[in-house]
Amino acid sequence: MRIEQFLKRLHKALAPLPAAERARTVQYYREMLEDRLEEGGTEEEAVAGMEPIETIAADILADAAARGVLKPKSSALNTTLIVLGSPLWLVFAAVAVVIVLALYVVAWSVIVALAAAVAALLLALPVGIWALAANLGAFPDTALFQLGCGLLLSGVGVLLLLPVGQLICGLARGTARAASALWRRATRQGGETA
Amino acid sequence: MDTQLKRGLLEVCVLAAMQRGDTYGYKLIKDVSPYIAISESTLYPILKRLEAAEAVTVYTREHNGRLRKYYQLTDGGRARIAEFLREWQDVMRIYAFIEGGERDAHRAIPETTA
Repeated sequence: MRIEQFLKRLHKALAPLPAAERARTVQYYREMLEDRLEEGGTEEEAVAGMEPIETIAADILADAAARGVLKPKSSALNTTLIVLGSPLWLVFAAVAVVIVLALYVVAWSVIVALAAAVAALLLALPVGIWALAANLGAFPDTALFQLGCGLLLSGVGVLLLLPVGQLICGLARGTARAASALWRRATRQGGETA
Repeated sequence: MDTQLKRGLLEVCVLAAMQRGDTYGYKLIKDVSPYIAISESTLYPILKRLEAAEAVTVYTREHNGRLRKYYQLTDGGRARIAEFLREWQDVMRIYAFIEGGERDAHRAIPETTA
């Protein structure tokens, strides 16, 4: 590791310190490393001769804590703000959930309508055949026309069968995946807070 | 070495290393290390404490195109060294007491080297 990289990592590890203290500490180590370098050897060797950054940071922060100069921890503030904002936050979350559910119901409704349409189209063929049988004697042209219509419509139904089937499978699978993901998130968070 | 004892000794060692003249961080480590284990991160808070107690003064000087902090012993620092040497007379007497007491108590048992 070169000197600048070491110092950058040290700077990061000293984040709890106030800015001035942090800068002074990094400067101290910069001087140490540069003095070592002057005695000979490479930057890597100078850095290797230092204690690990975790140890240095732990010592510095422990000493700073003992002197009472650490920056106040913000986690307590964060928790307070979250708790204070929670009624509103809960309302927004509930609204979001309701909207998602509504959209989900709409998606299923559309699919059900499409499926019904496909079923109706497919039924056109048996109807057409029955019409043929019923009218062939008296009205052969009409009967043939009705059979033709039946064939055409059921053909369209067959064509639509696959896409609608895929839509149904897709939404069902998506639902299953979302449900299991939510379940995992819920049980994991429950485990963490426990 | 006992941590408490070591902590007391380290500060006065650092002060003593400045007796021969103004010095800087890395040189302090080199001068003190032969006598007592000291690392950069141990020295740093000691120097801060000594400066706060006005036992040393700090100034910056240019060296090889970069800035270096130098530490200088004050009268307060010298007084602290003198106080340590005085107190150590008491420590020597206590040492003799402990050692003598141990010898007397264990006359029948062969002395073990500590």
